[in-house]
Amino acid sequence: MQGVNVFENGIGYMLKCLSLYTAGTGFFVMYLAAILFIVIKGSKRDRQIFIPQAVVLLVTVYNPLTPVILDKIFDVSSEYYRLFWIAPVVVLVPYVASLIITDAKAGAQKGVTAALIAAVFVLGGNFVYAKGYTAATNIYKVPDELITISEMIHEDSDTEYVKAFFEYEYNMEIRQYDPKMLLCVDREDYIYAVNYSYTQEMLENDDRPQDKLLALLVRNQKLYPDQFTNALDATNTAYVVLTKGHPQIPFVKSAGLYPIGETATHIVLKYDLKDPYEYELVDYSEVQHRFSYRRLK
Amino acid sequence: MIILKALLLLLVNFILYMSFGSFFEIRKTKKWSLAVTTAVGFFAYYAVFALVCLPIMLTYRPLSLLSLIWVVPCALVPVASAIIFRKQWIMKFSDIRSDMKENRTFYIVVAAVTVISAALVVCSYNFTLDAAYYVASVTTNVDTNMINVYDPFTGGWLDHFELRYVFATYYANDAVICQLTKLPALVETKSVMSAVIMITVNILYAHISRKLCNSRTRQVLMYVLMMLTNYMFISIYTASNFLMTRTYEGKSVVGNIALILVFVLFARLITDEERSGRELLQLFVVCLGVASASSTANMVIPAQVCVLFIPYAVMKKDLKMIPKVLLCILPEIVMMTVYVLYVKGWFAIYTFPR
Repeated sequence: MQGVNVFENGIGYMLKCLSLYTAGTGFFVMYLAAILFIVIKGSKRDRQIFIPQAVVLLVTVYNPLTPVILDKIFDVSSEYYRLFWIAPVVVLVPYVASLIITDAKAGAQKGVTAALIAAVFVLGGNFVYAKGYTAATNIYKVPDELITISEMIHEDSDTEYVKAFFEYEYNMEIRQYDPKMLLCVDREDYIYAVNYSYTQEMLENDDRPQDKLLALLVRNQKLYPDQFTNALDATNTAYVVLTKGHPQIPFVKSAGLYPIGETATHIVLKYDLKDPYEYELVDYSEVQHRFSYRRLK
Repeated sequence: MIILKALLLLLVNFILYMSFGSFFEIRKTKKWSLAVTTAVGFFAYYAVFALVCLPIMLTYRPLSLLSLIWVVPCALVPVASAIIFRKQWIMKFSDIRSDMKENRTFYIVVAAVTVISAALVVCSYNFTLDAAYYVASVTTNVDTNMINVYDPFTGGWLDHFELRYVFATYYANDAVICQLTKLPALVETKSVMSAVIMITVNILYAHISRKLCNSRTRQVLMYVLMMLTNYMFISIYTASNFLMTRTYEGKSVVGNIALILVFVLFARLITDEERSGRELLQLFVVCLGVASASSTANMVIPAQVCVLFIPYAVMKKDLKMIPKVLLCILPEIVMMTVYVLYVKGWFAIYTFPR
């Protein structure tokens, strides 16, 4: 869970986690109220179904000590919230709501009860499309421009596989559409660059040329032109795709890259690699098909 | 043409799930549920697929070999199922038709809400970081004709299998389907599987509301409110959010189908006239199948099974049930152990023989 971990929060972790999980919605409170309703007014069958699990959940998953104990065995900080999925909120709350509405006396009382419950559901929740519904513009469900850029690069390139640098969203999306587009930066490296700057020591490490690309193109840190082009050569990256307003476009052009095309919001720049090599898939046709593992400890 | 193919595939998926599930749900002398058959069949399908896929993947055989082999159960199981359960299927569909006449409003509401919800998730655009792995692993596997030996993020060759994902053969199935049907990976994952999951969830919701509520009005109300809860119970962490925005992901399968189905199987023990005596077998199939959807299942499913079934066994003074329940979650326990040993650096499984 982002920004909350068991080590720092100790027994306060569970409540913080629950607070982030519910995000101001009232559904967890409604779940507790529904349990109370079942205890007081539920049938024997309803109590047998819903009450034992609620009690066990309360003393296990919702016990502030549980994540602290579990964390000594596994790192549970990032995924503990998924245990909250076990509480059958989506079953019990609607069930009790439907019982309350249908048990109300016919006429005005039923109407008012239904309206009140509908209001609690709507006002006590966060509507999934509250910030608007974004419809996909093509069957691939990626931006149209990404498809155009992919076609543009393959048309320009002489090789089957090409390696490129894309900015954040396109970097995450391009290989979902185009597996022949190789990337010089993987997801974790990109996420690091979004959050942290690179130290001089990191930029001097020639084993990680991608850090130089990220420092310049994500962090806007200063680099010499040959540091940038050497990083492109080291990673065999021939194409750089940037948004048109990117502040490093003049620098990138001065380093020797030139535009081969553009879309409404992006520009595709090419670098003539000093010593390009063609990417080839590993040949498995001759290998022995046997399971291979190694004990490391 | 792609849309037509995707719709056909959607139908084929449900025929396969019903065929696989029939073996675990239908007993000649007892009542049975089409909803439970379909949902259990979903996990039976993925459990069998995982058992076929893993040896092929771990011995570096090509995806095309897996595709070729996987055609066999996909052809044989529906045929065998149709031969064995034909009469029960015909009777069930006839029952459903007469039930539709009596409960027209319920069926119309369920159909309308399901179609709207499926259309919303299929037609929406969502950017998620995790798709950079999951969907790209499908495109990469299809393109390279190998299974999980290349890094979906970059396309580079991997030195060893990434064990966090290697048992999640749910996505390898997408690659097989893409290879067999020539459907683009993005269409298979984000449209076909999104629709499959949304429809399955609605089938289960309809089943639960029919079983828990005795009046027709209450059944309709409960079903509508269940779906309304999914539209409203939204933070980036809730299972409802996964259902509405990351529908095709394995985590969505765990949070919205597996957890609900395990709850249904548990509720059956207490209430149902459709109790088949096979609930624990079905539970095992669900646990085995869902372990191939996402590593999240390794933590969540054993916890839920213990929370529901162990107190039940204790209250019913049926302590012999406890070892059987623990056996059901064995797939998750094994996978969790393997993963923890890998994370702690005890071993690595290579992508090339050494």
